[in-house]
Amino acid sequence: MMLGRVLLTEFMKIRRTLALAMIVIAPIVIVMLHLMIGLFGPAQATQRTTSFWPVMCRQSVGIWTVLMMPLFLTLETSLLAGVEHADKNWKSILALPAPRWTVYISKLIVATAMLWMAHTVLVTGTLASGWILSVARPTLKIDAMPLDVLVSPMLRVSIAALCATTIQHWVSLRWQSFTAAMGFGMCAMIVGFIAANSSDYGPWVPWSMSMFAIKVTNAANTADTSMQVVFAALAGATLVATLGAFEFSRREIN
Amino acid sequence: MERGSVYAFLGPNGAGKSTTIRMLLGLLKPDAGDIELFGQSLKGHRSAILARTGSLVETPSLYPHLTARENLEIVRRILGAPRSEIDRVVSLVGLENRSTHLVKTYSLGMKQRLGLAQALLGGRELLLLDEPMNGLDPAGMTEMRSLIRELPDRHGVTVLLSSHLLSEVEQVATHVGMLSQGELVFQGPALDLGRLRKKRLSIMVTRPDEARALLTTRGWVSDRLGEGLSIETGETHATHVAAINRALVEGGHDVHHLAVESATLEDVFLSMTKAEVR
Repeated sequence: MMLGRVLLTEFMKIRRTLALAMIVIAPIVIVMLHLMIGLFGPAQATQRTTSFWPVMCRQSVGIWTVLMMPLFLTLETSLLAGVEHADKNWKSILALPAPRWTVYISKLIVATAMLWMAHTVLVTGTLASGWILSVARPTLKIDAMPLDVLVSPMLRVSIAALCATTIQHWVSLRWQSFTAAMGFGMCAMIVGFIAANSSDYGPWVPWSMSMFAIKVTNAANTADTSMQVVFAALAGATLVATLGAFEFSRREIN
Repeated sequence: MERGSVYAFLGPNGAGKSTTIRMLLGLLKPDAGDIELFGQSLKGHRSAILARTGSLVETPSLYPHLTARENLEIVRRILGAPRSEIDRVVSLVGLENRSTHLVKTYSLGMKQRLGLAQALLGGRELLLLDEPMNGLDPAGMTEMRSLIRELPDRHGVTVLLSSHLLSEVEQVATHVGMLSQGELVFQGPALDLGRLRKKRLSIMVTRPDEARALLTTRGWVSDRLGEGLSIETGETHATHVAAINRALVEGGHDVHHLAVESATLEDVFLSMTKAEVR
């Protein structure tokens, strides 16, 4: 099947790239932050009456979703697109006998896979640092690991981020400029921050959907819309991916 | 285009060569009309046509962070060609010793050869090369020319080669098409174009004006060209040359230089394309 073949080549292209390294670097920064706080933090942070574990998980998921992930998405999609933009590779890759939509969708799958791999690193790293802290700092009272505080929200974020991913993917492939794609991503991130304060509009803004999916917004009277947001993100991502693939298939390559 | 030919697609910058090649590859859409390759419409049979068509559009499109083999592997997988194809094309372009090195360490000439290898992978029948010698040094150009020259006979590939410099391709082309402002002004075997070359006899003598007058009295029409004379000759130039030389010497002129010079294909090309521009 041609999609499978093209997808395999897309994974080959990210070998030895910064994009691949970022899958580990970005989540590990958050994991290390919590590990350092647990190991070397002030007494009031490490002397606890209740388990540090849920706090650590919520903070990891929250920092990732609100701060790191929008930056990660912007950077990863821009770097992925840059692999083709850099040497004007479109004229070569699109002159091969693969339907154009397979190229577009394969790159989107790679971008999504990179996001999900980063999520796996974040979850695994948080679990590992929790285990290290339970041994090294008994005062943190880390005992049973409540996975629902970590895994369940990360699964929701993984889907809720898809709408923003598909839009950022289209923008990165549409314009050759790395700066344009990064600029768009930064602006969208700010819009997401602001929209997260609105319970009316926030759940429908792609860049704040993830925040609503884990309920870390400041929106007043927010009903539990996390699953609705997840489904809305999935529907939005499907629509944007379809339109993007259609536009990409008709694009002229100069 | 005839199968097994090397068709040089010529024209000045901006004539429409690259646009035509991009249209043949489906990268650009024609404003009107349809494109057919191998007797099939590109619109309805894009994948089937591109599976038989390799291309190298200007500079090669490569992934510098990958090795040559990895770059070829990407194309091979999409084409569904056997693994042995990589060894075949690597050896064909002479990159055996560097095929496991990262492409970012390659010179432009090596990149161009790798681009050609990509275009040949999978036993493609037609090769579209857009200005493949751009930026190459003389040694690189010679290498590229010899690779292209071998393609039809040794590998059964038909080549369309665009260039704005006729001198670059005249040694390899079997057929020529000349494009000017989007219109073909000449198309045919390269030999036919060669026949359009005019031959001239270039003469350097001590007193050119007197020599010219002498030649006129003997029935040869000459032009002053710098410090010498120039006479247009026909196919029988050999007998003319001897007779002209004898007449000048017998007339007391010292002949320093006597040579039959053909107008270059470049001159023919320029005269054709300039005429169109006018």
